[in-house]
Amino acid sequence: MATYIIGYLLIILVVAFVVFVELVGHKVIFVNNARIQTIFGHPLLRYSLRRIGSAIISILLAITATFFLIRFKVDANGGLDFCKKVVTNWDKMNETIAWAQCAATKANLGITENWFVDLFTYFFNILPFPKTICVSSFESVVDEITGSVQYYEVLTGCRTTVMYLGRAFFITAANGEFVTDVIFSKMGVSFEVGIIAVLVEIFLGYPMGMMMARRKDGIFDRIGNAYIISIDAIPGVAYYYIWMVILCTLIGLPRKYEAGNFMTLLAPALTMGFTGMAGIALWVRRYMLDEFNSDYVKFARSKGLSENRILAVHILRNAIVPLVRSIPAAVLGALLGTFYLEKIYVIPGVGGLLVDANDKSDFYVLQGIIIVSALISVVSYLLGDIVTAVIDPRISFSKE
Amino acid sequence: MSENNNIKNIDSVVYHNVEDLFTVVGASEENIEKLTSAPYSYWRETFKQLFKRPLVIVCLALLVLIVFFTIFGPIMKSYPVVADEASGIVVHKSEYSNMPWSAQYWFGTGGNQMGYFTKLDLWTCVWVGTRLSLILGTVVAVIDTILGIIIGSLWGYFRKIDPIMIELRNFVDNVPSILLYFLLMQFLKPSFWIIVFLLCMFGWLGLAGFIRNQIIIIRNREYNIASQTLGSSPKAMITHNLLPYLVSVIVTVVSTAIPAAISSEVGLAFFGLSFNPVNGDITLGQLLTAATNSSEWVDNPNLLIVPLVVMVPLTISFFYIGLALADATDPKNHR
Repeated sequence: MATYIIGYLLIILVVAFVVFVELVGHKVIFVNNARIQTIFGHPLLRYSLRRIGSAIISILLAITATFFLIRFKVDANGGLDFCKKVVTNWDKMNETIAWAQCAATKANLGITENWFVDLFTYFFNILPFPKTICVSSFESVVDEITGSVQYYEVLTGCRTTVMYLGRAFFITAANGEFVTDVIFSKMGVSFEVGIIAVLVEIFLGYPMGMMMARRKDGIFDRIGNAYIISIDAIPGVAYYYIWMVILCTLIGLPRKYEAGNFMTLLAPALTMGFTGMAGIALWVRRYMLDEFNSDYVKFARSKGLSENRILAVHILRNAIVPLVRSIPAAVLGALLGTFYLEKIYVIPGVGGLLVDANDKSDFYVLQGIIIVSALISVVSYLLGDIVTAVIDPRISFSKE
Repeated sequence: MSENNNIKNIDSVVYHNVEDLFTVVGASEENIEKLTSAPYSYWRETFKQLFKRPLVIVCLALLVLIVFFTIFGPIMKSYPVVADEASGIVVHKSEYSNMPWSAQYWFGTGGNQMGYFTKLDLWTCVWVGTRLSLILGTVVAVIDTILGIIIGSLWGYFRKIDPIMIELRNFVDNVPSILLYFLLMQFLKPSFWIIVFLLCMFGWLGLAGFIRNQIIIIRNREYNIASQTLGSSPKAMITHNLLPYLVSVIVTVVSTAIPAAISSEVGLAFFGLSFNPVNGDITLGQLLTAATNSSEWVDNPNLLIVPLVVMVPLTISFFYIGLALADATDPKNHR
């Protein structure tokens, strides 16, 4: 019950907010109230909302496209290929029984004859409003004498949820876990590694960029540039392997991931962090060099401030404004993990899940990952805008 | 009185010293056609700038060396060969797996669990693989560039296309591309042109978006407005006014597109979405993937080192030359 109340309350709030912003922005209401006009009619706010709107449309398009691709695959060749894949020992079984089992599996997945009905059911399920989902498993029993097939529906359980992404049948136990549960449990693992990597990236990347900008064309700048070029040029897979050889074979960090063992997180996190820091350092350096010739730097220098202070206080604060936008994306992106890394270090994360789901044609999981990753990118947009507005006093939502 | 004197002094400077300052040469028909400054050619100056850097020459030498071996490397060996008749690719199969570097097998032989590459002479495999990777990278880069330039310049010049293209870009940004590759490869059989198609599918979008931004920046400069006012057609505007301005940018993107395409193929191979090596279509990506999929490289690091030794110089050389070209093609750096 609480889920329902909170869920609907949130939906009403969000819809009201969007409508209000649009109405104020189009100068329909509160035309004469200057304060409300500056806060809610701010172009940045409306721009962010537009961008989120267009992102949601592209998510829906992506879901529709993948849905039809997958259904085309399921129904290809009269459904035979799909049935052979989902029913084990297809060739050794009695044909009637085999087809019946396949039909039961399809019923479990919620596949009917009509593609469009299924698509709209799926859309209804993923729309974020509270609903109670009852799932059941179908069992097929073939009457030996008459040869007719009967289906038994067994209710597995009900749950109140906001977004129902279907059930995973082939990559987990036969009962079919909720896709949301599967993805969230994998996300925890990916995030464990990813967040350390993001910290390494930020705490090494920013100082590296600053050191490089400090003495342009100095020895450190040259080494740093060589490193950045090599990271950009070498294929990611090859690069990860080179780091793995250095970290695991030469230094001796454990390679294989074990749940709860912090030492096993180090090698993948450092690999990812050392790779990611090159990108950050590149941009920090570039933005800082852009600031070097500006008037406020010359002024600070002529006042006699030390070069270090100018660099760390005056320049850095201006240079990081365009950079902080990407921090929320990096942190949230850590939830999704990196496909290559998870394979190299045997981490049971989202990347591995994606490959697994593809191999076993578990298409609700595939679609679930699309939706979750798209949602993450939408939220990162929004947080990026907010962080930029917070850190840059020149962008303000309120009147001076 | 003194005032009058001053005026006379000024007069003497203004009227009398002029002819002392200059010597009259007189009119000359010959000298009209002569330029006093040194002759300037854009491309000659570009190459002059480029070859000033010793590292560029090193990288070029490396590339030439790699291309030489991709052509002649496989022929250099005359071992008992196992010919894959279906594809015509000739590979040298040894009796032993995991051989170290030797006079017979210059790069050693493949490991036991490397699938198709088991017991194969790695020297041959590496160069055959590099050849296909290079061809693939070049074709993809050329297609990406042509599509990117055409679509990007239209996108930047005609405002009406902008919203549609931005939606397309958002769509591609929001969906992990590897997922789309997975879905598509369920229907498509990997062949050369299918892989090219996969790699080109979204590759052009980056260049197109870049050119669009540049064109929007320079579109409203005075010389373009003047040209438009004089009645230039959109085609002339794009090809004569806008694109020549972007030559430097385009050259850079093209040269970095080749290593990027090679890298993308390595990524595809890592997920088993690339060519089927049984048909003789070996790429560097497959060699690396095969080496990493077996656990033998722990005992025999040679399996991992061999593809990396070729792949790393190859991509870095291309990339560095691209960056050097970026500086050299910029007319601001000339002279």
